[in-house]
Amino acid sequence: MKGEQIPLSVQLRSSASFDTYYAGPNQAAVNALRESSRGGLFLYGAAGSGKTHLLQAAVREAAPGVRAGYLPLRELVQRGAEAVDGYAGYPMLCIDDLDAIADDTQWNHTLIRLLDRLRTEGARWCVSAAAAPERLGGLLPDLRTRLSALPLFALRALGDDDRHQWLRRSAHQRGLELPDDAARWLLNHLPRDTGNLLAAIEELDRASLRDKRRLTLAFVQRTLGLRPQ
Amino acid sequence: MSIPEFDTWARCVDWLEGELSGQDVSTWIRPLSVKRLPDRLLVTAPNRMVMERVRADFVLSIQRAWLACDGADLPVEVSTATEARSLSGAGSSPTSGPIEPERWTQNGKLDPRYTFDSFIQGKSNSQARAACQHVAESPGVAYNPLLIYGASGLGKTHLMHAIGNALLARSARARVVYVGAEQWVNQFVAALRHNNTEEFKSFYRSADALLIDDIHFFAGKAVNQEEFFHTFNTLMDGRKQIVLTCDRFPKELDRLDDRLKSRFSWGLTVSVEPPDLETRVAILLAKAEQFHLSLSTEVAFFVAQHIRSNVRELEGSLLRLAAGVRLQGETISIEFARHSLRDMLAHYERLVTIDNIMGTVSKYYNIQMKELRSPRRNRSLARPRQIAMSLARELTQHSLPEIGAAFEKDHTTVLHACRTIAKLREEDQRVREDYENLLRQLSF
Repeated sequence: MKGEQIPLSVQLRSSASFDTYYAGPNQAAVNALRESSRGGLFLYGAAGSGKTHLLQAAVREAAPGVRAGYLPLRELVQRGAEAVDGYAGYPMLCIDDLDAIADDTQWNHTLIRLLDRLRTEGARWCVSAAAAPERLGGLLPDLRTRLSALPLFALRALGDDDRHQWLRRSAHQRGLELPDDAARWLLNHLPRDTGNLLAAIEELDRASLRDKRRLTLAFVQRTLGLRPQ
Repeated sequence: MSIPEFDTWARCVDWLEGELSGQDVSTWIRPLSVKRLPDRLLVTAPNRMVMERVRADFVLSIQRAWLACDGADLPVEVSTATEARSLSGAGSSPTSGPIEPERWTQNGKLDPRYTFDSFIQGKSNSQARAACQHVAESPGVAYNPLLIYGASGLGKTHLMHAIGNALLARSARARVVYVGAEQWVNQFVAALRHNNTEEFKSFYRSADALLIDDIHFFAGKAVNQEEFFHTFNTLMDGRKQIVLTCDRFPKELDRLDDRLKSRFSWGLTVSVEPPDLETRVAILLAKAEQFHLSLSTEVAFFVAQHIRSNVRELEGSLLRLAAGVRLQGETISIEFARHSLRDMLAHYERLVTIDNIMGTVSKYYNIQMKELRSPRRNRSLARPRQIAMSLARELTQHSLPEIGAAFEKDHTTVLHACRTIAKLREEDQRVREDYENLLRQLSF
C-alpha cells in the first residue's frame, strides 16, 4: 500500500440493533434481554463478545417509548461517580463495562445505591462486565453479592462455523460480498476475535473502495499483506 | 414530553443516528427529554455532566435534527432535571454552578417485600431473626441497640427492613429512619459544607427508630463518628430503638472509636451465618413460589449443592432458571438446571491460554512441555502435540500462525493437526476420550 492515498478512517460504527447482532450460541442471552419486562440482568464475556452491541441495542429498542440510559463506564470513569446522577428514575438503564470501576470505592458505593433504587422502582436494567461478579476483582462484597443476585448470562465466543457466517454477514452489511474461500482464509490467518476480524473487514472495505475492486481471495491476501510467499 | 413532541423527538433521534456514532447517540442523546416552547427547544439532561457534554458537542446537531423533522429552526437550551437527585453524594465542582444540598429527608425507602414472613429461617439465622422480631414488638426496651453482623448477602438488610416495616405496620405515624452509613457520611459532609448541620442533627435525633446499614463504613471517619456518637446518645436517652448492621463483629472493626464499640455492647449483638444446605433448599423453594416457578425438591437440592456462597446468589440462580423456562418452555429438570447454571458457576469462565493448554496436555500424557515444541515426530509426542494444537484452535481465539508459533511450527502443521484430530475423534475411541477429558479439564 506504499505511496497510495489511504482513505481517512471516518466510517461510523453502524447503529447497534438486535437485528445486526449475530447470536450464534448466545440466543438465550439475547432473548432474555429483549423480553425482560422488569428487573436486572448481568451479561459477561470477553472483549469482542458483543456486550456493548447488545446493551446499545436494548437501549435503542426501549427508547423512545421510555427514557433509556446507556452508561459506558470505561468512558465515564474519569468523570467521577456523579456521571450516573439522575439516572435512578430511568425505567431502562444499561451499564456497560463494570470492570472499569471495580477498584474504585466511590463508584462501588454509588452503583450499590443506584442498583437498590432501580430494584425498588421496578426498572429494567442490565449490567455487563468481562467476567462473572464472583470473578471481578476489586468489587466491594456489597456490590458483588447484589450483582450475583441477577440472572447471569455468559456470552460465548462463536465457534468456527458461526464465525464464518458472521464474518460474511458483517461484510454483507457493509455492502461487500466476501467469498467463501476468502472468509476461510481470514479465519485461518488472523486472530479470530471480533475486533480484529471487523478491523480487517473495514480495511478491506476501504481498499475495495479505493481500488474499485470486489473482494477475491487474492485481493484479500494482497490487501492485508499476508499473501504467502 | 407531549405526544407530538415525543414523536418528533423520536424521529430526531433516528435522524441523529445518521450523523453521530452509535455510542454517542446511546450515551448522550437517548437519555434526554425535550419540550418545545414557542421560541426555543428545552432539552433536559439527567445530570450536569450530560448537560455540559450536550452543550459542548451536540446542540447544533439537535437543532438541525429538529429542523429536518419538524421544520422549525429553534435555538436549543439544555438544562438538568431539577428533580435529579445526587446519587454519588460527591456534589459538583464549585466552578460549575450552585450545588444542591443532599436531602436527607429522601433517604432509602424501606422495601415492603422484606418482612419477617418472607424471611426464611434456618439454623444459621434463627437467633438473629428472633432478636429482630423481639425488637419489632417492643422497640426501645430491651436489645437496644441491636447490631446484626455477618458477610454480605446473608439477609442483614432483609431483617433490618423487616423491623422497619413491622414498626410502621404497628404505627403508620412512627418516624422510622433507614439510611446506609455511607449515605449518612455523604449527607453529613454536605451539611457541613452548606452550614446546615443543625437541620441534619434534628432530623436524625428526632427519629423514633434509626436503622443504619453497613456501619463498617464509619471506620476511619472521626468527625462522623463523633456526630453519630451524639445522635446515638440522644436516641438512647429518649428510649428510641437503634438497629445497626455491620459486615464483621464490631469489636474487630479497625479505626472505630472505642466509645462507640463499648456503646454497641450495651445492647445485643447477633450474627447471621451462611445458610446450611437445608436452609438453602428452603430459601429456593420459597423464592420459587414467589416467582411462580415450579421447582421440584430434587432440583432445589441440586442447585443448593452448587450455589453455596450467599442468599443473593441463590436468587440469581433462580431468576436464571426462570428466564430459561420462560424462553424455552421446558420444565426444570436437573439437566436443564445444570445447563442453565453453567453461567453462574464461577469456574466456568477460566481464561484458557495456549500455555495452560500445553501444560495440561503435557501433564495428561506425562511428557515434558518442551517436547510439545520439539521437532521430534514419533507418535508418542506427535499425537499429544496435535491434540494440544486442536484444543488451542477450539478454546482460544488465536490464529493458526500464532498457534503454530507457540509450538515452533508452521501454520499448515496446525491445520493438518486439527484435521487429523477431528477425523480421529470420529474413529478412535481412545483419542475421543482423551480429547474430551482434556476439554473438560480446561474449561470447567
